[in-house]
Amino acid sequence: MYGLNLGSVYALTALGYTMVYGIIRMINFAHGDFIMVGGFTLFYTIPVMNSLGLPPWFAVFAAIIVCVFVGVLTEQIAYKPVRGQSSTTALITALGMSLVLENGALVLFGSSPRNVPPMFSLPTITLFGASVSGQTLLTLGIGIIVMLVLSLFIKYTKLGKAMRAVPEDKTASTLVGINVNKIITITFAIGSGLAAVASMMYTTSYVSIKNELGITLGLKAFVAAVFGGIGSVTGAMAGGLLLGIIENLVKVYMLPGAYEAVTYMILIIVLLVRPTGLFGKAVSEKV
Amino acid sequence: MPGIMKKRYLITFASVVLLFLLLCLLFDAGLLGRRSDYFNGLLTVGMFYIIVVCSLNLLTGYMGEFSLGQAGFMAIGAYSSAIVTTLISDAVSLPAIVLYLIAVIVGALVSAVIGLLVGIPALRLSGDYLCIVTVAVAEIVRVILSNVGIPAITGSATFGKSFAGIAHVSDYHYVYITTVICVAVMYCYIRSRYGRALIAIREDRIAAAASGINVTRTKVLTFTISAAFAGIAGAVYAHYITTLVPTYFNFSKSSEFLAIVILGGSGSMTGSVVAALILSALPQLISYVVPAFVSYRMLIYAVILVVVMIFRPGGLFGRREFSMAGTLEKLTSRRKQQAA
Amino acid sequence: MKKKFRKTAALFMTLALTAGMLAGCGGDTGSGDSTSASSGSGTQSADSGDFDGTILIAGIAPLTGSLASWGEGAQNGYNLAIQQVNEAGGVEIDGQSYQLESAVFADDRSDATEAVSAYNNCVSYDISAVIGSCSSSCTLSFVETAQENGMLVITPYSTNATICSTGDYIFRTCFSDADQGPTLAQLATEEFGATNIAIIAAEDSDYCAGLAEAMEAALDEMGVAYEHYGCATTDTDYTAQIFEAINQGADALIYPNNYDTVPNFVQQARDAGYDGPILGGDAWDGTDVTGYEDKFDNCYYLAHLDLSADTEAVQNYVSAYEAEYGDSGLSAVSSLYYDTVMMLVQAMEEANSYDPAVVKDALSNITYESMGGTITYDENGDAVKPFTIETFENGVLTYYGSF
Repeated sequence: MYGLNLGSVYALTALGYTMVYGIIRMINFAHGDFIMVGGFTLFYTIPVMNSLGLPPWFAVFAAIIVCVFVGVLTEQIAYKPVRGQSSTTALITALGMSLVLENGALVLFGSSPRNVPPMFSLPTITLFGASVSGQTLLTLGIGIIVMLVLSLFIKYTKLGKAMRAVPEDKTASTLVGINVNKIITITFAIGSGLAAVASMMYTTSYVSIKNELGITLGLKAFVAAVFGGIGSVTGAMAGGLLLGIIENLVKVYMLPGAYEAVTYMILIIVLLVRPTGLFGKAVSEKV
Repeated sequence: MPGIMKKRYLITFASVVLLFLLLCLLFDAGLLGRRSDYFNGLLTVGMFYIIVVCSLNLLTGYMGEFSLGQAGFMAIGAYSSAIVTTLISDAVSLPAIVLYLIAVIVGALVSAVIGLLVGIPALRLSGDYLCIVTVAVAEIVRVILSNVGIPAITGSATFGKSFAGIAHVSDYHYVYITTVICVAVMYCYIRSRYGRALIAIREDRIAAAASGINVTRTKVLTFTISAAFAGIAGAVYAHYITTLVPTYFNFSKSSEFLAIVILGGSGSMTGSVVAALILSALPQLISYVVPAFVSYRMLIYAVILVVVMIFRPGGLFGRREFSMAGTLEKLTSRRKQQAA
Repeated sequence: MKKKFRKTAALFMTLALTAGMLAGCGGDTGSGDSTSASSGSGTQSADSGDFDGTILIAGIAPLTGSLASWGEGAQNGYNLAIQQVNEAGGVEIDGQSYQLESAVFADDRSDATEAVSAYNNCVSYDISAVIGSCSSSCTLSFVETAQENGMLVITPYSTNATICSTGDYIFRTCFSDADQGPTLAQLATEEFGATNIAIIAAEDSDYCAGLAEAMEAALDEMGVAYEHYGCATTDTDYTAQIFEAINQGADALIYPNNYDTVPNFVQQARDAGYDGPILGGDAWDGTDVTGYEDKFDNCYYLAHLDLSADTEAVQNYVSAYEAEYGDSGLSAVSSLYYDTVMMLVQAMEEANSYDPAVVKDALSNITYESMGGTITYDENGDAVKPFTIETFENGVLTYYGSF
């Protein structure tokens, strides 16, 4: 059961990456930092929930609101103006926003790590002879539910269909009456909301948070998303879980300190050999 | 025309030499007194920033591809050169200049070889994917350096991991000359046949290929050259700082370099030089006056970066270059006009 | 056509330099310049008439960056010591009383490159000693230059084993990792009777890996069984290693990694059902236990001193610190910076000089009563001092013992 928990967190984070990339073909470097924002929101709102007599995990709603706000704000202020520009401009802007959030958090919250108060007290469960912590099961469960809901949403709702139409052809989408800007904003809202959920699951297992939390997590989740096939919801889930398990196996049995080298090797190999990942559809790029 | 060219070369050369003499006057003649170590330290840092930022600009500005892994190549140059010079100086004692030259050459070569090995497969990709591969390569370099310590053959030092006791041979005279040569070579490369081919590829890959340019070869060559210069910057850095820590060469460092290139203007060497100097040394100087500035430094960079991307995606200098000779000509012609 | 943009560079450099010089002069208290010729002349300058009654020292710490929380306390501790020395009449040398003054307290952002600049900045004043820095990588980046130029460096908080063997001008107030490892091994076996130890150390950090290595060498010598599991400094998930350790039947976990990861580790170990002792090194200092107080029972780490001790020295220090700065930044780092300045003053008075070349000899023979116990120096310039063991009682840091 090594790495299931870490894998689930990667998966939840990768879902956010994949959502945004799938719709607007842009790597949102700031996604990892949205999780950091969510983490700090939880840190500040859980005591409030406790004092109000509400269950502490209600704080996740505050986190969702804050993350969606930050996500949409980021999109409106920074990403929207550069949308017409080249993809590289968008990439740099995303990198810039990531730095803005990290360093903004440094200025606001300082550099010392904080502990997010406990939200759940779940028992460890024995399944098929192996003990699994309740948190792992919860994270996994939430991940699967989110994945299913997202898949159904994208496949069957009108909004979801519009979301799928936008990356195919922006101009044609506009012609058939889709408000492209609105769709993109909604995508960001959903992606950031997912980040808030991911931050809840992250902080239940990994209680110590600081402003740099998003860098590594973001990179790893991105690897997971590419591994599974970027743009694919199932792929993100599978990629995340697989990556978590692989990392832990390598860590325990092969290269304890250097297991990340294997992670990034996987990324390079996937990109070179099968850029569409495990579940991605091959889309030939127009020239 | 050749006459004008010659004159321009001369003017440029003269201004480079003049600047060098000015620096010598400031530091060696002791005009700065006790502060000269401090300032020439800042200047040395500024100069290896110039080299690495210009090398990244080769990719970003002229090839039109983004690398977020330049710190990785710098790390390769730093570690390889430091290992070689430490081994050599354990065996024989060489004058500083020789050791420095060896360091720079080793750094450039090793980094170029790795750059070539990475470039050949990786440059089949482009855009976001290439950028991510460079991140991955740099992270792998960092992770390996953090974990693998090569036991020393002689002495007690361990290579790899934290690495202390590197010969302090990056004297600012040498570093200045190195920087000038590096920038000049990169500038000439862009103006050369290969450089023009590169720009053609950036503008339109298919048209360039159709007109007989070997796209893959030109890209790989540029990637290798860029890696080599990053390696030189690494060698200079290692022999200035004398202690290497692998975590210095992390993702944040690479993004800092990229941010500097963009702020200066991708496609302008002048922009890179100016931005590298300002952004590496200025924070230290400003923090004298406003100590709180340091806390906000990276936040300010980041905000400026985003604002520049939105309003002036070309950066500070766009694709313009500053020309000493050109400026002089303009000034003199204006004066002539006034006189007439 | 070549490098013709040099002039711009020159212009900017000149601007930058001028700005820096002006700024430097502005920030300077004036004393640095007036004694510019008397570096190293120590006591003689007092006799020869250009006595101006101040001794300059400088400090380095990470005031910004990822270790900024250390830097704040460090600067406060350093300033508090200087203030107290001056209030008590300054430094007595040759019957003259000198005021102690800080030329500059430089920021290294816990980055080696910045540390070199910070050091150069410090020595551009006519100082007698540099107090700094925190991270070993920063301190290592300038000790060699300092040794070459005969500048006295005392690092309050860098534990890397090789620092002090650089030369006879380099000292420290904390203990060295070479001593810390064996002590940790002893603590586990002698105090907690561990016979089967699991060590989980970050492989990619010199501090963690070095500490683990020293510890394992000691355990080998004692003939105690142990199992080594690696991790990386940026890790958050230790469940796999903890699971393996429990399967191994470990009766003590040693986690010699940095404080920011400690809550994650302890929480995961307790959740996995491990109740035994968890031990750590001095990098545990500053660990946040808020919200997880119960999990930190039976956790111990080697500390430089105990800030809750009821000795007069510690009590006085804590109350003085809190009166001046509140409780923000009050930590082992702050007290070590404080102690370092105090020890330097004692060494100057014993040497009857503020010339680094003379003070260094006095330092190597000094017996200083620090808040964490008596400090003496071995031939390397490594501090010989007792280890304090701290534990958590309901989340409150408590003194457990000394070693």
